[in-house]
Amino acid sequence: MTHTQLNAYIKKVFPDESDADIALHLTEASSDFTSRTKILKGVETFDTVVNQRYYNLNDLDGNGDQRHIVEVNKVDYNNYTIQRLVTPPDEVDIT
Amino acid sequence: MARTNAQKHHWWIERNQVGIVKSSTSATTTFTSPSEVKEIRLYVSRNDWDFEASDDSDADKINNGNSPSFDKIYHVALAYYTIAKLFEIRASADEDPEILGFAQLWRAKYEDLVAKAKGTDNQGKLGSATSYVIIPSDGFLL
Repeated sequence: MTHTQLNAYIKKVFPDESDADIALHLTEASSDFTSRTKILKGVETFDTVVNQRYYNLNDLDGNGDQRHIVEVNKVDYNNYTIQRLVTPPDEVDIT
Repeated sequence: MARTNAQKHHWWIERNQVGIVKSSTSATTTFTSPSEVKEIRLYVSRNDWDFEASDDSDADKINNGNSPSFDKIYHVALAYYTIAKLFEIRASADEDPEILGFAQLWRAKYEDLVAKAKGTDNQGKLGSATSYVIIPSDGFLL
């Protein structure tokens, strides 16, 4: 269903609701649905920076136009899958 | 060589960040930060783009002509959620418990689709071969 079709469906029940308000609620609905079901899978890529250990999950490419990540399932380094540490290294380095 | 180097690396999640380190052979430290520029690929579950009431065609919005990115059989769930939410708002504004009943009705329809989608999230397009039946006449190996 397109945004317009969803809008029309909702307006059968709430004909006076504005398109902008419906869009806000649809966004909230979409966030709830995809967070709880984890149904929307995808791949995000970025390059490591020398001597930088942490990379912000909200803005991996530095453009600020990325979809919110709910869960990370697997990581590749230079095309090879790497292992996950269950806990962070005990020697702390917050760079 | 590239494989060996990659295998020395590890990842974890902390404070909404992904950490990448390399195992060290040094006697003084176990892990070091990355020493080269290499591509990292994250396989993730994520939210969709925001909806926007507009006829434009932004790549990072769901405009009027666009659809959500997940399987289309679940698109109507977003309408169920929105209608439930609007009934909740109206019930709150009018202080009318009868309207709240309508909200609960639409919320239940939404929850049904959430439960259905949760059951399929890791199947991809493999079909429904997630269970099997043991036929007694086939016998059992012990």
